Amino acid sequence: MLIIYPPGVYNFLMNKILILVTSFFSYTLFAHPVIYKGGAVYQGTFMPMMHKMRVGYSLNSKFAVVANSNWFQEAGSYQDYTFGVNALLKRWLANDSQANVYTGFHAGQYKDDQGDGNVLSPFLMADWESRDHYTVFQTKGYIYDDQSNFDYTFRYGFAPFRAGMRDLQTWLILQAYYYKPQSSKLLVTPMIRFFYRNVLWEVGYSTRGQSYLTLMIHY
Amino acid sequence: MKFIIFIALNLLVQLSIAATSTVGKTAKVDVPGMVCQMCVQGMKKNFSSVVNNPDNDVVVDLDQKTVTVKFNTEVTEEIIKEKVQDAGYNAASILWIEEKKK
Repeated sequence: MLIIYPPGVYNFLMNKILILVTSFFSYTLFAHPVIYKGGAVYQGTFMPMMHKMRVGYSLNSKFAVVANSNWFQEAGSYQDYTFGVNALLKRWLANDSQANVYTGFHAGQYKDDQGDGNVLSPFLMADWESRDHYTVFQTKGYIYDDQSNFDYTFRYGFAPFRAGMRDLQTWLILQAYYYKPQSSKLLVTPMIRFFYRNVLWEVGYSTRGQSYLTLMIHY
Repeated sequence: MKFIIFIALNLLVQLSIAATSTVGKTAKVDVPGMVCQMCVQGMKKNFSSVVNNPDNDVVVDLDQKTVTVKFNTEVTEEIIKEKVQDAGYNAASILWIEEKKK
């Protein structure tokens, strides 16, 4: 079994790091997994029953190295820390829109109520966006112990108006999320996104009464 | 003899064209597919090494899908294409606003 952190250090140190980082950087699920050469991204999502966090650095416009952390309270208090590579498989550029297909493969350690061990976490994501509309689908796997679980996310958003390059961008987004170990019900979250220069916020409230807060910063 | 002179002159012209490259200090680049603020940041980041102030010298127009760059040195079209590709896009065309033949 791969041991990245000594016993005790894993629990204490990584939890402290996680709390510290997510205190500053809550999250959006759907910044591009790979951005531009030399670009760094800090992103996180916070809901009462789950959170996700990612720190990434794009080596070029095709590949990025990333560190992730995920926590699902209802899935046996599952928590993981993974490292890996994201890749842009294909980008289609039209004049007023673009479409992308990304993948990634992450590996690391997890722990839950049943124990701990190694976890593999691949994902596949496809998006299409213009200045007025935006849609994305992503599925991500959590393969550990004798389990293979996948979550599914779909988003559609539109910009009620076009803002200038130096102005505050505003988007209205509807997100549907499903992860069976976390909940057998679909989690639907309307949200509003603000994007100003290199900082993005998203604030929402799910149909099941859960608040949703996100933040992304890139350099 | 005329044929040889024609060939020689033709060769000279071809070599002359090959040796000439456009350089300049301000260019407007057509970049299809730029739709978001992330594109703007990517352009500013990747052109930052050849401009004085990315905030002022790299102007992205998402409506026109153009990037206008005021360089701090003379650059070639190849460098511009490379920077645009590093930002994740392709330069469809480059219009020099200030140029000279080198």
